Amino acid sequence: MINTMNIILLFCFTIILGYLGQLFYSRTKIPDVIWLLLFGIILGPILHLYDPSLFIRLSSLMSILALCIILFDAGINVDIGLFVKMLPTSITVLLFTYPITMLLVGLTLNFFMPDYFDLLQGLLLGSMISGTSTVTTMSIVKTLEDSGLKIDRVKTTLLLESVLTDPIGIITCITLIRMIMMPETSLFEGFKLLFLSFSNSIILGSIIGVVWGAILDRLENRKFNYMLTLAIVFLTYIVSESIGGEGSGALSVLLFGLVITNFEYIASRLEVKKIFKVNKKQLREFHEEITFFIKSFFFVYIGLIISISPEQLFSGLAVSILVLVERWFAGTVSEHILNLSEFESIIIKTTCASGLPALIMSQLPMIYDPNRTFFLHPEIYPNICFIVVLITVIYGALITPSIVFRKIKTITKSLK
Amino acid sequence: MWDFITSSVIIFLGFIGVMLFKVFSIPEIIFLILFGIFLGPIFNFFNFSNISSVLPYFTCFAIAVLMFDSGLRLKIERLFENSKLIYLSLLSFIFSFSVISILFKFLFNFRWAISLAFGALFGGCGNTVLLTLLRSMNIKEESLTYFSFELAFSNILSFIVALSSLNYLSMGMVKIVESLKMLFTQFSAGMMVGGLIGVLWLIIIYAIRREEYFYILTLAMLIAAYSFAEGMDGSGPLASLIFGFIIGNYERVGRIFGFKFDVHEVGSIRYLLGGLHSEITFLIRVFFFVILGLSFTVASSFEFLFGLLITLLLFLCRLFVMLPLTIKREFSYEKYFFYLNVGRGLPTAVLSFIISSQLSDLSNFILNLSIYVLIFSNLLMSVLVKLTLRELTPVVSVK
Repeated sequence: MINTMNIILLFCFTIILGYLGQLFYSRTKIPDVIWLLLFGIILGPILHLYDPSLFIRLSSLMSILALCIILFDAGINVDIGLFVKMLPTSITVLLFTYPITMLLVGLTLNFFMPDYFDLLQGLLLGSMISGTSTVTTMSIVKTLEDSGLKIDRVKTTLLLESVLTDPIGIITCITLIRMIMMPETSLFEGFKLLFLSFSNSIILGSIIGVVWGAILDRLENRKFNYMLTLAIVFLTYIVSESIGGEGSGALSVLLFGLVITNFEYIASRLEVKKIFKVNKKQLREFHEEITFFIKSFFFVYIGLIISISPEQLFSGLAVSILVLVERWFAGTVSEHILNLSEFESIIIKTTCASGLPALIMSQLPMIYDPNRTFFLHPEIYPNICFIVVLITVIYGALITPSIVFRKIKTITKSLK
Repeated sequence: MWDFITSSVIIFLGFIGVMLFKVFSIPEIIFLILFGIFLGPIFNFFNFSNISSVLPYFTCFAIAVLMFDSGLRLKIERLFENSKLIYLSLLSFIFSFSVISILFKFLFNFRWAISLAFGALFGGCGNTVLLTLLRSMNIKEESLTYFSFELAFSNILSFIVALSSLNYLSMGMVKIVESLKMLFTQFSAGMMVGGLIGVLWLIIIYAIRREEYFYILTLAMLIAAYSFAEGMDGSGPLASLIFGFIIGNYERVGRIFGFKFDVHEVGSIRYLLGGLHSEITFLIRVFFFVILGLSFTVASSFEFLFGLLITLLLFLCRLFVMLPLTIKREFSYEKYFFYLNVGRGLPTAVLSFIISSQLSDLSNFILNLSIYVLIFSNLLMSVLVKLTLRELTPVVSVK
């Protein structure tokens, strides 16, 4: 039976802890993600104060909620002018990171844990953790900026990379799940499914974004515009999922957010006189509050439901090392292709924290296959992703700044 | 060998048709179709079967080029700043299309998808003749813009509705919601392919803007866009349209990516797209109208009368839509030309082959009916234009 008071208490303490985590961040440099995950672990697997089965039943709802909020947040915070300018750089880094990491992780897991992961299932886990998290990446970059470093170009590159990997990761993840659940699907069919998901999402999200932007322009300065917009975000997700197929909703929501806040830029470039204007500042401020709440609760929720075996702990460690090593390689290649400075290159090499998107995607095998027909051990995904997120976030928060500062000292010495 | 001889004769006939248009001011469509009828079914110099093997490939090429052409004509400033153009064109198409679809449904009891395909076949006014004529007169720029826009928009709507109806038919007994989802997926995939390849080509154009063979490369890219879209279960025609739209608006779209075209480079790109492109569209136009004539089969007088009925209905639909919308316009005489734009053109010819290949039982009926509607509608238009010009001679002058 659900103890309502306990659930409300959980909400309260999650928000307080999330808030305190952000306050302590400036002193400890440890992102609030860590505190929230540990809080969940303490309440769940350690002290058994909450029954994880209740939260597991809510995983579908939690994942969709979190996905919509996070991706809408990513969309409304993208400045498309900067996006277009830095796109080649971000895409180059992404191309050398995402597919290679996914492949390496897939092959490694298939080789060392064949009972749990065939090749496709290994690639599936790879697709979940190969991307970077916007929230976590920005925390790391902020640490460097607060130390007085001028890193605008590389900051934008990393931000764009994380914005791009969110929908790419989700669509790739869902496509792989479909391929696993429909074994007769060929590679070409899989690629076609991926492409069709992308095109449906982009077109739908853009159309709804333009229409809603025009409506918001008419409703300017009225109350509750933000809540109405939030309703449209969820509607966009549902419409896109039903028309465009599974996986389309995520990218549609991202495009929706991107279009309503950047229509002015696009229209001015096309010299279109009729444009709508949306109160971006207000939208971003309101949405930041909701994002904070959802993000905090989701991290605690993940901490509550995990149960890690020693084997999974070891696998998570190994995968994390693989991810970090591959990132170093990707950064090295990008340095030569894009003519980056040593300083920019070291930041790219060492910033690859996973986060909320990886944890959201880790729930999908359980959601899509609740009867465990194709995924015999669906709990392994959130368990390994949890370890990877924890390690990459700690690495990014504590080790990345020290590597970067040491490099700066070396560069400064060599210049002298 | 006969395929090549037939093709070369067709091109010569096309050239003669254009010359006859200049002399008699009768649309060359009529001459070309009549040439085909005389050389084929009447004198048996050529057989339709000689050319039918290449027809499916040429049809795909024609659709790609037509939609590309429509995309080139659609200017962003007209789309966003003059919504009247869109309303007029849309209303005109919807009304003609609806009346014809309902006529076919209730007269022949066809499935709705087939009736809609017929509606789209005859509903769009894809004739460039009136536009060519008006360009030589001192007509207001706004009116010329309208006719050019209506041509492009009408082509697009005809193809999209007709091909979507045929796609729906080919899906079998699928629920309407599912089929709408599939159609939407086709549209999205087509638009994405056209958009991506268009942007990619824009980047390449910017890089090779001083090189030769630019148009042929663009044509190759167009065919690639069409094929790739179809391969991904998307809409090839829509991909061609979006590709053309991006190329046609290269300056504005390029600005989003920070491209700055030099005014001399812009001139050479425009010349190549205008000059060489018109040669290709001429070839397609000639080919299809003569082939249509070759495919004519003498059947019953019903098709003759029915073609006449459809032509009159199209004219009445045009008047019904245009009269109230132009009654308050400040143009005193130009509004008459709005009423007269009833001639059907190349989209009807191309679509007639596509629809007849899908509905093989009705193949002869579709082709014959299309021939009658093309001839009657263009005859009606040229007669009315001549009468109108005679009345308006003191007002209208030729440039």
